[in-house]
Amino acid sequence: MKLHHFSILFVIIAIVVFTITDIKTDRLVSIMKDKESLDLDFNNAIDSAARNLVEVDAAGSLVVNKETAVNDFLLSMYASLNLMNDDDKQKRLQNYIPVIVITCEDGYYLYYSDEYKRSDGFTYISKRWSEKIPYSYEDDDFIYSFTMNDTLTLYDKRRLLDTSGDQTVFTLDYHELSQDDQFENFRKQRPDSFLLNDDKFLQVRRKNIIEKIENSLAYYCNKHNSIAQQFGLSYKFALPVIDNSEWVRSIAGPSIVILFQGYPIGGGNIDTYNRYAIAGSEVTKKQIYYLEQKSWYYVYHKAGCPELKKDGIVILDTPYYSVLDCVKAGAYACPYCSGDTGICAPAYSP
Amino acid sequence: MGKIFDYFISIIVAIILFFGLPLLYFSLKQDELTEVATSDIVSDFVDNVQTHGYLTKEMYEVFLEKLNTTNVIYNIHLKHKVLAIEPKYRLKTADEVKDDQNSAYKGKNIYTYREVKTEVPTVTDPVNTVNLNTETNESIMATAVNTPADPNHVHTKACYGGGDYDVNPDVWFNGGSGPSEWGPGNRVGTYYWVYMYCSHCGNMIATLTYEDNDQWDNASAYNFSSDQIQLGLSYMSNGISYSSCKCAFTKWETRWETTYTPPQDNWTFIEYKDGYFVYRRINPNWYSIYLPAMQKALSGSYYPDWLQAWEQLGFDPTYICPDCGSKLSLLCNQMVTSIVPTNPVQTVAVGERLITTVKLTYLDGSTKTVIATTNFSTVKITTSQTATLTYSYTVNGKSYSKNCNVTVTVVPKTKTCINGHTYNLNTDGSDPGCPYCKAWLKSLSVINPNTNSITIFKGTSLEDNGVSLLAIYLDGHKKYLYNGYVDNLDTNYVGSQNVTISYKGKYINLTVITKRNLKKCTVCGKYYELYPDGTDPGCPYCAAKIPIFTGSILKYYATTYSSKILDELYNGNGIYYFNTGDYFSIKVTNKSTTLGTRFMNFIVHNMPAINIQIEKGAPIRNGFNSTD
Repeated sequence: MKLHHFSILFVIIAIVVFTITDIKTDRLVSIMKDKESLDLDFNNAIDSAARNLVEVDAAGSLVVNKETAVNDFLLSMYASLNLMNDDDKQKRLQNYIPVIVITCEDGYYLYYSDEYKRSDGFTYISKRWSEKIPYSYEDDDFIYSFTMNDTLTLYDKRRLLDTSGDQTVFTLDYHELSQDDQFENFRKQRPDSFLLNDDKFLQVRRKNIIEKIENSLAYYCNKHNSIAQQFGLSYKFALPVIDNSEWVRSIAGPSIVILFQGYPIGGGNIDTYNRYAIAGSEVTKKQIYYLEQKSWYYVYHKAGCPELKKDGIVILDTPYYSVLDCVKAGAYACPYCSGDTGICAPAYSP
Repeated sequence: MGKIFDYFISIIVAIILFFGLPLLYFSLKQDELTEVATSDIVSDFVDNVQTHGYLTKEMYEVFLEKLNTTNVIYNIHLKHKVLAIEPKYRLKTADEVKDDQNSAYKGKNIYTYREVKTEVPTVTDPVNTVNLNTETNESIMATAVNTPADPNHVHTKACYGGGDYDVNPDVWFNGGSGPSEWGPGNRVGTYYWVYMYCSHCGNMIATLTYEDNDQWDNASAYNFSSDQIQLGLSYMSNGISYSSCKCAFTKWETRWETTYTPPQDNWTFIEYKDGYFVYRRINPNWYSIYLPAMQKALSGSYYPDWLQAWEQLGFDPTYICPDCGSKLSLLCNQMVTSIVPTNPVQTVAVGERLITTVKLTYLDGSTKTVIATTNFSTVKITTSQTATLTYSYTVNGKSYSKNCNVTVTVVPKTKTCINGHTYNLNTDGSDPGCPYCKAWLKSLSVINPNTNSITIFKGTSLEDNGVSLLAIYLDGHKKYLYNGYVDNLDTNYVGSQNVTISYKGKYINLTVITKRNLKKCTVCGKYYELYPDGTDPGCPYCAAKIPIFTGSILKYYATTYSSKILDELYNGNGIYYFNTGDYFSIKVTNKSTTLGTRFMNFIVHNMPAINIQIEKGAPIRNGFNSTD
């Protein structure tokens, strides 16, 4: 064989190889691009969901707007995926969301697809909300119902708490168990109960809540598989591994957990996009700021700033609840407590 | 030779083709993949930062590690866009500060109006024009009416001049021996003759004879009661022979026709009394003879009344001056009995003539207005002085004068000046100038300032600021006033006020703008205005240096770049915090040339070295401080 034969051979092989490689890389690139864009969309959607998840109603208590949150998420997704005018596609999108969990203070809701039979005998599939599932846990002594804050509901199985009376159901702050006199008896009987230990309690509570949610998620995720099949989705839905650190945020307050799986991406639907998002919403207590008057300007301090404790300074009485309010009152940031994120006063002495 | 050359060429071509091309190709592909991988890593990192809301050193190092696996060195640019809000301060202008001070001023600045009034100076120059004589002598004389004599007037001896005038002629008695009445021891004889001769014409009028028997002892009376004297006739009756003369019997002389010639005696008619003419001898030893009045003898009857007889006889009883013997005429229309001034109370101007006309009343009752004389001088100003009017007249050579009194008030002469004021002239008649015009103002004008307004500082008066007036009096003389005028300037008011200045009754207006007082600032050395009530607002220039908050805020994006961020991470706390809403972006470019580029550079020089360029950014979701 001559060289030119090898060359031709080589060219043939090379073309094949190059083409295939090209295709593959291109595919990868396209998937990556899609992923990026979907990521962005998803982020926006989950942000809008989380924004309206919780609000403070007139009485001052927290209200979890689960429907609004989910609606917002879906609308945002439709908008970014350009499905606003297409009802059918909108419905199909929902199939890629196996389950949504909305956690509240004392329980959680699930949003999942379910089959049901209607009066006309046909089976319909639609999304529905579950009831509120409390964070419950059972051991030998009590049946616990945890909440995201320190409140706890106990069902006293063995009458450890209330020896004299008939009360079996207690709703209390768990600290009371270790401090209150009426539970002296209990403390004697169960000195190493995790209820009496702060760290342990927190640990148990967190673990329990996470476990519960994860279990529900797993269950309904799997359940979705059967439903998705009917839509022709061959993707196998499964709960992804969610790191504990991610869960922390969700159990600190009402949050929304969205699983989004199996969305086809890439040029020829070669890959699927899987994402989960946990968006916790906290109704944070607004940071209180106090203004101090310097020579010709004001300075706002956070509530715990050490500068406030110095003597000989003039502090105004009214508290301000946001940096914007402070600035609107004419205050610069305190270089010690807010200097990182605020603007400090220029150096000018009249 | 050619073959080896061919062989060589083919080897080279083979190498290039079979190794180079795939190498190049795959390295290019590798670049692409690296890019994808890097993109993924960077996405992951950005996501991480976005969700956590902070950037720790660990996160960053993990990221770097991952980047390392691509075997390319990158330039990493971190960018953190913070929405910074900043209050906007600005420096006030001094005017603004002044406006603020003015609006913060709570004091009062009230204008109180004071009435200003000056009195016109009083000039007393009483002019007495009352009762000024309106008439003059001439005018009175022109209108005087002289009344005629009283028809009931009876002439008496006074009508003839009165007093010592002889009315009837003396009787010369001449006769015989006279009785002892004629002289002691003259009594002789038997009968006596008394011849009465008219001393005027010398005719014998009567002859008296009588017997010795009759005693003429009665010196005072010889009663010829039985005898009758007849005028004009010569007859004898009881020893008296009468004759008459046609004279007025002014003087008779008696002649004695006896041996004894007594001196010639003159007999003077005394009076007609009770039907007797009484004569008296002008002699130390005198006698009075009563001669009965002769009756008219014409018809033989006798005149009981002498005068009557004369009148019937047609005699004109005349009076005879005893000295010169000339006949006296009736003087009752020349004898002034009383003198009355026509104007008893007079007010006359200095130097003017008094009205000296007087009204004379004559003996016969007639009146006449004449001009009397007076030596009263109207030069001196007096009040109610008595002036004597004297009228001298001559009657029968005798001059008489009559006086009467007039009350005179001499007033100075007045003059009316051109402005209509009446004033008294001097005593000597000179013009002292109208005192009203001297004292009263014609006009008042402001000469300084010469515009209609002046700007002064509070607390000062108009005099202090040199406001001066020009007063022009009515008589034309000018006076400059630097003070002494009255004004109603409110020294506590700041602002514009209309001040009325007045002097001696004239008013003039001036607009006064009062400015606030100034004070020098100790800090900056500039003068600034105090408040109207005098309190100190503080130097506005110093206050203007202090920035004030405008109320608006600046919203801008402050970008922190990688150097600062990394500084914070490595040299600072190790955590870089983001606020929610910030924008975090990262730009990763390759620093070292990638494989593909390197190969490409063999063929084509100056290929762009940066072919991995990934830029990702995301807004932070769970950051710290929210700027909402």
